[in-house]
Amino acid sequence: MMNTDFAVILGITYSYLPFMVLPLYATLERLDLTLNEAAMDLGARPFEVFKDITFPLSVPGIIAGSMLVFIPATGELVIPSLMGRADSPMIGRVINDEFGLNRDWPVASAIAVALLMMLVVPIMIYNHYQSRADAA
Amino acid sequence: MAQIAASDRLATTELPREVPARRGFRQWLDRKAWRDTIIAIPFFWLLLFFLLPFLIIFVISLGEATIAQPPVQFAAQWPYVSFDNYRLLASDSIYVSGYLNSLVYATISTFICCDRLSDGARDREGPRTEPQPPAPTRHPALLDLVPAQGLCLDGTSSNNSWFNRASPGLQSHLNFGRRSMPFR
Repeated sequence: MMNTDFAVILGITYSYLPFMVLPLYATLERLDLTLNEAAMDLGARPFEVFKDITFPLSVPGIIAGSMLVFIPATGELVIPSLMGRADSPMIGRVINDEFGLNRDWPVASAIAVALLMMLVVPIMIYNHYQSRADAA
Repeated sequence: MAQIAASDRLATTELPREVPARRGFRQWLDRKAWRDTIIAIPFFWLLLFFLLPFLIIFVISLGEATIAQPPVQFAAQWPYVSFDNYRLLASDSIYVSGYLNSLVYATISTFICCDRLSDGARDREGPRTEPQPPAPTRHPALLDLVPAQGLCLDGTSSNNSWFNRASPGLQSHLNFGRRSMPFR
């Protein structure tokens, strides 16, 4: 179990779960349960109600929670260092080693800037299309 | 006679006439000052603690490693900077696999987080045969543990938060005998 990829995923899931719970709970609590009743009146089975009503209405919360989890999880250093394999490090650990052990600040900075671009550019594109969709 | 005239004058001066139109700074102060201030505070916060450090890191990334303090140097001639570090990122497999590992692990974890919660959402919808009065709101007990989880994570080292200092007994209970951890 220890020092495997599975351990890293388990550790990240454990410590980032709250960041997913809170936005999703806020969204689910505000859902109108009469919609579920109406769907069931019209003959939908519970899973269909979830698929057609609850899930689409909670997508904003899912997206918010996913961003809160995914972005910091990508740069995670402590969990992969404690629980992961040394031969396949996550990028946060590579940055840490370049800054600390290697003392190669320029390369470490380049890794960090590239990582930031990888995360920020897709989000900016998403926001751009999202605002366009909201305006339409 | 003079008394009446004085009270007349008083009455007319107390009546509100037209509010004088304010321009420039006074107008901004009346209408938009708070809104602009509220937006400006987080804006300057981000400027100071996100954009500025990012620019420093970006400039460092264009330099070259050297043995000095700080361990960065820039070329002596125009254009002073180079993108060699970024070329290295694309060419060396440790960086590429590091990025891939991070993206894959974070994606899987994100999906597991989502999945466990959508299970909870499904539990809320039982089949109902007839209209019922609204059920008393069930507050998921696990949600109460969410802040506690953060405190437990914090509690892995001995004396570093208000929670740990305020609750030595609970802390030793939560720690399960772990006295210290690296990276803290």
